[in-house]
Amino acid sequence: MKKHIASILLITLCLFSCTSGDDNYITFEDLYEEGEEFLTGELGVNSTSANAFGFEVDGLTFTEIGAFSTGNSLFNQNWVSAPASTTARDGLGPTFNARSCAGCHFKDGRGSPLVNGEDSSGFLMRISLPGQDLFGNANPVAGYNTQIQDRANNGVDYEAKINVTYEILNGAYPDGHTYELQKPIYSFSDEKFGSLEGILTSPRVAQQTIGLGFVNALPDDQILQFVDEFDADGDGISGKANYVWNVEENTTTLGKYGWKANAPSLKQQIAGAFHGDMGLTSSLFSEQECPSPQQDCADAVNGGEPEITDSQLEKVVFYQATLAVPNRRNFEDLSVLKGKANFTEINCIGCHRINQTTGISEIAAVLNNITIKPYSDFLLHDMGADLADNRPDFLASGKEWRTQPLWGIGLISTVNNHTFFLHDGRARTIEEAILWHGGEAENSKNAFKELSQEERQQIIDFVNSL
Amino acid sequence: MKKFLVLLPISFFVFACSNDDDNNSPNNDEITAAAVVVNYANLVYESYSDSYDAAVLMQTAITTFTETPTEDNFTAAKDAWLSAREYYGQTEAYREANGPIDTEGESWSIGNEGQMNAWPIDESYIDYVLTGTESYAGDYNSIIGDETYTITEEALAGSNEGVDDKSISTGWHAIEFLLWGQDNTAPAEDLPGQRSYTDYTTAENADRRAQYLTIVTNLLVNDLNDLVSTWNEGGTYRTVFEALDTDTALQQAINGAFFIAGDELSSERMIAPVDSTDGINASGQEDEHSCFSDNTQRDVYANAQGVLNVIYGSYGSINGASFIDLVKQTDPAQAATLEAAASLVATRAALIGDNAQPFDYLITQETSDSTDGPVMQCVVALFDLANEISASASVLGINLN
Repeated sequence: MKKHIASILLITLCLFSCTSGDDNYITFEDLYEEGEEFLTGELGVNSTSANAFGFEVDGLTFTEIGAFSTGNSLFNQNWVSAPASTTARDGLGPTFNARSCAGCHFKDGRGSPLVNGEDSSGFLMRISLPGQDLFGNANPVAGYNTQIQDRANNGVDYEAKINVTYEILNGAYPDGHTYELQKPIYSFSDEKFGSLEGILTSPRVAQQTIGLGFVNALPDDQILQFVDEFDADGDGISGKANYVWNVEENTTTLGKYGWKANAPSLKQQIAGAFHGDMGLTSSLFSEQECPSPQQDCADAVNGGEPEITDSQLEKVVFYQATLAVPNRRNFEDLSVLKGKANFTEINCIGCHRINQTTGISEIAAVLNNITIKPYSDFLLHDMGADLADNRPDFLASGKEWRTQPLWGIGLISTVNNHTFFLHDGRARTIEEAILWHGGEAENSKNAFKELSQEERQQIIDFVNSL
Repeated sequence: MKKFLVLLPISFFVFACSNDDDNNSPNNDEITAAAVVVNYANLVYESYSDSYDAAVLMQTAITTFTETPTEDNFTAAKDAWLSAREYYGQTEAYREANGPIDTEGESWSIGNEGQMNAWPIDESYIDYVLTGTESYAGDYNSIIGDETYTITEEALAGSNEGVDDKSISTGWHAIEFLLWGQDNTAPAEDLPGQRSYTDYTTAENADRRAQYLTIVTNLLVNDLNDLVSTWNEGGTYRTVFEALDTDTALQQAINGAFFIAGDELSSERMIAPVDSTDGINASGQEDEHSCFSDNTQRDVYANAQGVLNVIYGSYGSINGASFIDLVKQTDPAQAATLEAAASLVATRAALIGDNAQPFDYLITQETSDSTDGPVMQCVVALFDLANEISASASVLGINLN
């Protein structure tokens, strides 16, 4: 292995010195860093199968494997409408987006963008009115609250259907190569509880759920070290923490999860998804999601109070927290190593950060004190007008999004059979996702566009190796 | 089939020469992966055939009952369901094997696993539910209660889960629910659902209920028939399977056994129910697959048996070149370990399958952090077996991850 790398290095050094012509001096460390393929230390898995996101981290005890298994079952199996004999699995709805967690996070992977005329599959629409509620959350829309549930149980109205059309945007690289982006334009139909005209909207697709326990175990300072809200260092990149309402702690704490970093903990993120996406109550969100005037919804039988018990919630949290991150593939490939160098050179790494270290995990001891390479700072960044949804979310402005961790990204096509990226899945490839970057990422994107086609491909190859 | 018969005399000769007491050839050339694959295909065909035949018997019993709805005929229909489950449970080891039952998007895909065996079901989507374990239960609109719904095969199949994300309206458990009704008794009473046969005579919607039962049974029989046909010699998938690279075919076949032992049966169907006994109203005991008939312990047994069938290449009259034979040729020590693990699963699955107590009672007596009881003991054995299947596959150069 060492020899193999060494020979690559020789070739690479020659190529760089022969072709680049600029003053980049590429050292050994720039090309291959010992152990760089292990994004979560020794806790990664080597699977490259369609189940690559479904494995637990190494080192769990028998009892922990049991908890993982039960969590897996509760995540994958459909929940059913109450009343049902399977009392531990009833309480779905009355309105909902999906029957199971896996309905959106198929094989613990990623949702697909909305397909016009079809019910959502891993896609949902957040909505709000301008302003904030008492907790700093977005203001609910009368009759609907803050999310459109496009499905419902028998005898209950779903809230509305969502439609999409795409506008094609043409662009070109400085070298003359052209590209095409598709910009989604959303609308509502069949609104059951009043017009949704003119409200604020934020389309979202479900993210892959690997490595979440590491993020949960990151001490705040590991995230806050990258904060540069007013760009004091003048590199064009800020990095802003979202502080959001923590339901369990009854106070505002650092946001870590979701497209806008609007969930402070893995437990709240999961309980929120059970509640908003599946209509299941828990000790964190105990009210049925039936805003007035949804009377059939309010009158529908529930699956107990709460519908998902604390024990079940803990098991799902444990399951999600201990889903392993796949180790990198093709990390020795010349193009990947060169792509990595350029990824750093054009400062993608300025937001897609690595080498944070977890503290003590309250979920699983095996996650303690692990240095990780998530390729994310988990902070908010202005991503420009083209990606803006213009819907604030706690401290996140309508232009700001949390940096998406890139670990596992190259396996999404294997797990989910698609390569749709960004918050609403508008990008059809990694290349398109890069080209949509704006705002604080404008310079990096432009630098990417200035690269040769071969160098652009090398960056894509590198991202695919993650 | 012909080829297989020709092999038999050779095998007998080999056995006769061998002083081993097990069914293995001492000659490295005797057992080939190709022979194991052929035997596997025979095994799949035979077990789907048996499952289909048993389902036809059930269909006949159900027809007899719906035409002459008496208590006796009702019992006979339920007995036929129980009998048929013994066969179907064993075929689950052919899932997750890239086969026609649960692979989508191939020309040979059937993808009818969900239509046959989806679980859990929203009972109230199908028929009435009554006050029982849940204090809040009551009468709800259902397909049977909705007279505007025309019950046809197409309609019920279309109402089942899938692209439209509907609730579950078909399959074994829908039939089970229509025969037994909800099990609203306490686990300690050792009673299944108490539906009365008068649901098919004098009760409201009796005719529609009978119609539903008939049609949903026909669907299941048809689904099984599709699997039998495609796995028959010359059948669509059999042809595809036999044309596969041998190692690929073997990997796919053994992956099904690995999946059932290490995941579906041990985790999904055993640990999770043990864990959910603290479900709401302390009534999570119905978190079991055959919750209406209280037949889950037999489901467990049959699933485990299916795994052993694949390992040993043996089922009914099929008894040929097997996975464990191949392993034995390459690494006898690993084969012995695999055999010990398989043997322990057989013992512990039988302890559940033949237990005087139903599964819903057993799981109320255990917790997943203790491995003292029969359910968690079986889980331990299944995990171990899955590990040994994986280790044995590695010996053959096959990676199951």
